[in-house]
Amino acid sequence: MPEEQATTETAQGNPSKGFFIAMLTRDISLSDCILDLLDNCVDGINRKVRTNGAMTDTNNKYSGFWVTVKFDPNTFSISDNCGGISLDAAKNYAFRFGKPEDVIQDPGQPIGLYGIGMKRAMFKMGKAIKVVSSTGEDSFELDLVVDDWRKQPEADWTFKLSNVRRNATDVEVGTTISITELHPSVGREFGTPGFSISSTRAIKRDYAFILQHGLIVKVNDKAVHGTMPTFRESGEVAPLRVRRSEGEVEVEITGGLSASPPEDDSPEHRFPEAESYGWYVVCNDRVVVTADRTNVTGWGVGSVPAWHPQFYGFLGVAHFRSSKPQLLPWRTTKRDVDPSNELYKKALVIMCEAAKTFTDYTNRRKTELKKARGLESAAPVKPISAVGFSNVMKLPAVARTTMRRISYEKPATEVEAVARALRLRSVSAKEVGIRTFDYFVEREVEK
Amino acid sequence: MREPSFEKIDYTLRPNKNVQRKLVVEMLSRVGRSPRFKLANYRYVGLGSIWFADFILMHRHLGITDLDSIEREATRERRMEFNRPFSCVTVWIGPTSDVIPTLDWNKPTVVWLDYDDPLRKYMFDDFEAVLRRLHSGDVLIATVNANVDQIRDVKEEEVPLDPDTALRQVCGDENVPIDVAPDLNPKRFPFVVGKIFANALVTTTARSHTDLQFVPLLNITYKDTTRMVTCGGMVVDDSDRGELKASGVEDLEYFAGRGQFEISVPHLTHKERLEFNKLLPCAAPPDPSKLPFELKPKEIESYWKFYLQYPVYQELQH
Repeated sequence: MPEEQATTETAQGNPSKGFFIAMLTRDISLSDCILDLLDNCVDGINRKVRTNGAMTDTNNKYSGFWVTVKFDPNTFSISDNCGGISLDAAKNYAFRFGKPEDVIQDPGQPIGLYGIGMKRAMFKMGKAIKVVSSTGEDSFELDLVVDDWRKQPEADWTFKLSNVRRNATDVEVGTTISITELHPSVGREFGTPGFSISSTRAIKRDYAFILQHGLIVKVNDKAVHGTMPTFRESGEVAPLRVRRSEGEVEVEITGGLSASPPEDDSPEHRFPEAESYGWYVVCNDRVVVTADRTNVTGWGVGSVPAWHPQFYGFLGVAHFRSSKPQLLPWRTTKRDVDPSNELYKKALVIMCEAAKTFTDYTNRRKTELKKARGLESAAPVKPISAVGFSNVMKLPAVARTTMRRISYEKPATEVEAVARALRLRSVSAKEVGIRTFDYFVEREVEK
Repeated sequence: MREPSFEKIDYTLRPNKNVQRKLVVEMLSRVGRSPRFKLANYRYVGLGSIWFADFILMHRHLGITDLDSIEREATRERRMEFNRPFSCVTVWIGPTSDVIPTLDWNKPTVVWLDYDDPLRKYMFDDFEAVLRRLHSGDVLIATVNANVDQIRDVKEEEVPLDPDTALRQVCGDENVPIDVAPDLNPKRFPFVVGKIFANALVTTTARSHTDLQFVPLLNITYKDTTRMVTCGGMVVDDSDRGELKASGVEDLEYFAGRGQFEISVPHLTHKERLEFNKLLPCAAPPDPSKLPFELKPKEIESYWKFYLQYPVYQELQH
């Protein structure tokens, strides 16, 4: 009997749409979804400006463009006049998931254009999605019922475009994405005042650089105004601000004191606006990384200590600019730094030095706390654009003494009684400790 | 212009707080018109202090027979116990954060956190602790000092904070409306406080329960010696949302949906009160010229509305 021949067979490996959607939408917050959609609008503006060839005034380069975001427990919509999606883009890559292998990278396009931002936001939010877009030349509509789409044959990942017009259309230039049949948790969240406020604050912070160039963003009919990072600057206190360039990329690094560091770094204490401190990495006005305190921006690397509440008050901005966006140190998601980027590595050296200067200072200043705080708060607050260039970070000079922390617990009633005896205006356990220690030193310890 | 001293009343006689209390009870009573919300079967949780004024009203007018009072001052335990107005009132000693988790929340409940303090972080923690434990049909009300000075001249370890930052520091970034800075003055601050509380109550409820929403019913401001704001509402599922509406509570003039409502009854002498009452009731607030003594139009309107709730103080001959 002849031996059985070994053969090759095939095993199925194609993804299921359901699984894909679940993975895609997993770790993104609704607030970040909105920011992703706004990013697409800005990409649209840049495309349009480039095609028009106009060299606009850089300070108002986004002037004339607007984005309107609306949401409530039943619907979400984002509408813009930022150029629209061309039919070619819509058919070949706008609605694919991720950057297609065979698309020739247009050197003028930012990395990650038509990446996953739009699809991720759409699928995250709801089950009925409508897209209407026009470039003035082409226009189309997309009506997506997610459950029907999922029932398409496994190999069929296409979307149907309807009302397609080529070469001339009277549909207004721009894009509108509307989502209904919201997932219950999404609809609930959209209905909370907390989400409305926190998502607006995120736009104010992450879009500050873009908003200052004239783009109008409205959230539920209210215009959003950006909050620029601020630093304290005076004779004694000033941030580091340097500019470096390499090839066609320029980077500007600003780092220093934005607010007085805390004395109380205990876990229960909430430092005002704590979540806004750390490093911001900005690429062509887009905030890629916000208030970062991880090793991505150097914290805990080499001689720079890991972030600690003691460092609240530190603000740093590393702003990379280039006419060739693919040279910038961002990943395709545009929400991550690409740490292998050579210029970023060089910038990181400067950033780490700045961080170390600041963290050393936060230790030193404890010897002359009152003097330090006085000089820090006397320094006027200035927006980043008004800060002067300086190779050195200036911080108040304080005496160098080695300090030791004393920490102990005593019954609250006793502490209160001592505070009264010391005639303290309010019961500060820390003040009680310091004053009783000083009392003893003065009377019992030989100088 | 400073108030003349005769208008600064002895703080134990607070007619505006008194009227406010009665309006709260009236609102609960209106809700109770719906057969779904049997107020007499509810339990009441409050911060009674030694006066228990709200407790007395809840028992007397709504028939509530299960009442819990929380008192944080441990040194007042005996005084609290001594002053319990009825056998159905239980006193619990400790901060709200400690006591709330220990109470039984399996009964329909009205909670009124009548705080004396200005805005504090622990209040928002309390909201979360309570809202997590409430069921459809339960009511949560909170009263707070809304004097704008509390966020002026705030120092974080001797570094002055700007009022907007101070407010967000206490109430949380998510609860404070954007661009609130222009409203941080004596006239507008009560509106801001009302908005912050409403934001916190609605957002916290939506995040703690998948099937419940917070419906604001009360947004009242008043001042005797200090400006105060009272906010409150009911936690409901879809079915109870309809029942609540059907009770007619939204017809009340001070229903929160109409905006913040101000109570500003004047501090009247006994003689002034009797004279004013001679004109009441009448279709519209009387013209100031009809009264033989000076009152502001706002005060006339408030008294015209609430003359029946206005407290009558008499010294007891004991």
